[in-house]
Amino acid sequence: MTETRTGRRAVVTGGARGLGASVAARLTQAGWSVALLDQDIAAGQAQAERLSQSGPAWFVPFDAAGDAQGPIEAAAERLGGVDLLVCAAHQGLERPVERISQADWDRVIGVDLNGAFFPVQAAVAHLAAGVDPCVIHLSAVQARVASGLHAVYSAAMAAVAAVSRSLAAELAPLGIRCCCVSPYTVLTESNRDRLEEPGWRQLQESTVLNGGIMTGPELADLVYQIVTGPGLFNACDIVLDGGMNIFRERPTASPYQSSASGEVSRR
Amino acid sequence: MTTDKVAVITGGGAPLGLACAQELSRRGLRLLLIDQDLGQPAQALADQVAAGRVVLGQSDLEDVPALRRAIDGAADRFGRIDVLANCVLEPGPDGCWEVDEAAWQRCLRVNMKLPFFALQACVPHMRQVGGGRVVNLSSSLSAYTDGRHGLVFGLAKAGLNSMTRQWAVDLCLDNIQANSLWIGPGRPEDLPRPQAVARFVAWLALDATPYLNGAQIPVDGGAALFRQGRLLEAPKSVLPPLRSGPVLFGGPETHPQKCPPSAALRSGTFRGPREPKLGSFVEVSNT
Repeated sequence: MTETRTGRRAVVTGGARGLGASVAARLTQAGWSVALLDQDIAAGQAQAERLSQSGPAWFVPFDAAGDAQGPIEAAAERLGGVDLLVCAAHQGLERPVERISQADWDRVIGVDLNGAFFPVQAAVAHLAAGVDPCVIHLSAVQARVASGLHAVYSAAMAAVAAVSRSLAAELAPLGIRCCCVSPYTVLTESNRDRLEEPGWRQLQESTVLNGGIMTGPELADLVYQIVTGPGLFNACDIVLDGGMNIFRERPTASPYQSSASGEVSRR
Repeated sequence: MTTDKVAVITGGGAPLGLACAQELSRRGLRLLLIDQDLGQPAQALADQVAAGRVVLGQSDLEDVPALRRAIDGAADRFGRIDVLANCVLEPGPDGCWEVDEAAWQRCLRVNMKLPFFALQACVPHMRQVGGGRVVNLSSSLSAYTDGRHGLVFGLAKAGLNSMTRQWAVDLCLDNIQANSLWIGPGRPEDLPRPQAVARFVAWLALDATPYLNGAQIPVDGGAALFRQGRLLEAPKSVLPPLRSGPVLFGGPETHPQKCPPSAALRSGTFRGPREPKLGSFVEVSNT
């Protein structure tokens, strides 16, 4: 199904799989042209091919911890400009502090933090000439809440949100909006095998208010609202966490189920 | 688009609430609007009112028993209630120390007490249809302040934000989600159009993932960037040089949507940074 082409152009880092792929799919469905930047060449090409059934989609090899300018330039030339940059390249790490090596540290900071900054730097000139230009960063709720085994990851995610805020102020004079979304666990190809780990699914489901585990398209739809809400959203960090950061004990029973009549008590 | 859903909109007579009413009506919902003065929606939604799809509930916004009667009456008439949009924005008294008690009371009753009792009346009906959505229109003034203006409004909306969290947690097993939208302070010409806010309210009420819950969502166009209503002295961004390469389409005279930015930049017609409009600081929001 192809809707009207919008003529708008997006670069999505980490677009081969996971959240990046979901965001890219949401954009192509809405008529955007997209360039997927990813280190996974086979997955990236396959995803671009899938998306090109809905609209123009290209793949550009990219390592978020490495050079950004070459891939961003290549993407901008393919697209004929850039209106939107989504920094979705992502490296998680769940590991006890004493087992985190310097290489682990460098990889997480490299992909998550370098990958939140250098692509924007490379894209600023293109964005400044784009149509309602916007940068979306994906952080994580772990930037705000204490959660074991995430010492490096939560630091990287907090830094991503800080980069987004700072760039929002710096790039506002250029008309470029910068917004951040901070999700809790999203079920993707990258973590689907963890469903087999004892207790993993139960932990995820018990730490959100409505149970279950969020999926990529649900996050992508929020990103799309932000991207297409120019008057509304700028310099914001929207937490999409099933309420994870606002409660410590989830209710075990509805406050209304105890009343005999099933009616809400009003006195 | 057809739906049998029903929404209650408090503050439905003022511009934001009216825009929400129009958008939700456009999306096919039947509505109960509650406000002091419903002259605008009576005109703007006259067809829907005549068709019995929009009910106008005149209220002074402080009469809780009347509020309950209106909500229960709408549930009887429409057969269900799915959405509560609390759009009341009672600005309250200006100033800080010179605030008088009656104005303080009015501001808290309308901005805090009314949304609470509106939801209390809606919950049994929402439970009957297996869940519901609450959208609370709050304000960025619940988090930022200049210390001189809007003391009571800010604390009332901070209280509403707290209730958003409480409701999201307390009603989670009833499949009711609640979120706060922070409308920005400032001159109307700086703020998002009510229609844009209304489209997002409708998305939250009808389309959004239930994992967006208990959240504080600024829809203020970046009010966090404002200081004294303007940009503090910030160094202008300097655009990095672009690598040379082929220009793919168009020329600098074409419409910007069709003109690749590289063409404008490389041909030297790009005018550079626009005049700064926003401030240079952004705080960590205290959500």
